[in-house]
Amino acid sequence: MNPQFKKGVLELIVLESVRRKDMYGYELVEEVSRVIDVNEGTIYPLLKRLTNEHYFETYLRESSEGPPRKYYHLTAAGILYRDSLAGEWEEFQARVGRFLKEGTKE
Amino acid sequence: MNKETFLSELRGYLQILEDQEQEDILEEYAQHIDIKIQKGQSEEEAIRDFGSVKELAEGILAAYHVKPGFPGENRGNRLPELTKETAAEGKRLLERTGRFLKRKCGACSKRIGRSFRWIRRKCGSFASWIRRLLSGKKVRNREEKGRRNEEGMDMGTAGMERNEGALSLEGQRESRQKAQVQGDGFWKNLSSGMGAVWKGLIKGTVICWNAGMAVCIWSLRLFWNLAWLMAALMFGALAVLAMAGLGMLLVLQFQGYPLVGTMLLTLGGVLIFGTLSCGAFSLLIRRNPQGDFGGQKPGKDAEEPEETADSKEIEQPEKTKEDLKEACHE
Repeated sequence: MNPQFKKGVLELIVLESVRRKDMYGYELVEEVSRVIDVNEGTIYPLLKRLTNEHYFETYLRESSEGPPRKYYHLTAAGILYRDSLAGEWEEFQARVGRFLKEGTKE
Repeated sequence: MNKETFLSELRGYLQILEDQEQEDILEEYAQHIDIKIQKGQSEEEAIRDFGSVKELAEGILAAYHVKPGFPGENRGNRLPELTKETAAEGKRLLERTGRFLKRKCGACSKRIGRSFRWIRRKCGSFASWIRRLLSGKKVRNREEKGRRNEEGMDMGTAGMERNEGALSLEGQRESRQKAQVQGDGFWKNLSSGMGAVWKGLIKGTVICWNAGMAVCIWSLRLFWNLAWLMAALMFGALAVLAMAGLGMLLVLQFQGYPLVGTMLLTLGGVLIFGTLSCGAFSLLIRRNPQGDFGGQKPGKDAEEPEETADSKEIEQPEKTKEDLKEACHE
């Protein structure tokens, strides 16, 4: 898959994942990896940035295995941002799809 | 590559970020590796999944909108070294430069001191030369006058001798002898008179010099006082103006105009001009310091009697002349 495609859509996938369930870093990486094949390292800076932009809140929760884990939770601003991104994605996808179909019809 | 080296290398690239941010990010990666190890992967494998550390770091920095080409590599790798050997080296360098500066400053100050001493010596010699020159000129002038007087006196003696000749036709030898005797006395008197004149001239030059200096100082003081008085009056006038302006602004302020800033400005002006005026007034020399004028008065007083004594001495030759004439008449 084109890495530029992945880059653009990664943010939306991360937001959607956290919207469904509060997750800690590794969990999130696994979740995202289910959808697109992405370098594990690139998700953490994204999490950091979204947290700094107040789309995520973080809290620590004890875990049965090892040290407490940092969980990410989507804020109200994060939900709005996720919805706008999802809308953009839908429109973008529809337009590109339509354009591609136009070619096949002819 | 093990976890520690991976984390320290990554930290090296992230030096540009705040310490807290670095810690947060590195903690996430450490936890990620730990979980992977728990799930049965080896440390090596877990780290290999991240790919190149440099690219990873660039990805992290891109998330902070840091320029990709930023020289994080140099920073990261060099900063830890600073704490060990480079610090000692830097200390040594600092000490060396300190010592060098100290030496240079010492030499410089010594040279400056020497040059000042030289200037002072030169100034002293110049001043003494000028003094010598001025006093020498005056003395020379007086010398010339003295010579003229001498000549005049010679003429006078010649005239007297003629009169003598006219008066005493009969006893020429006697009169000649007399004249000779009288002439010797006259010469003695004349020389003593000349000495007195000479002394008087020297004293006169000293007095003139002192008086000149006094006048000079006085005029300098006058100039100084006038200048500062003018400055003080000007600043005082400005202060008064500023105060008047302040009053007006105060009234306007109470009427609701937004003039607080201007008011503060004028207040500052009042204070500044008042201070300057006071400073200028304080620079006026009201009464002379004791060394200046008070010191000279007794000197003058002391010199006056001497002067009168000199004039008496100078008058004496004239008296002798009259005596001579009377003697001739007889």
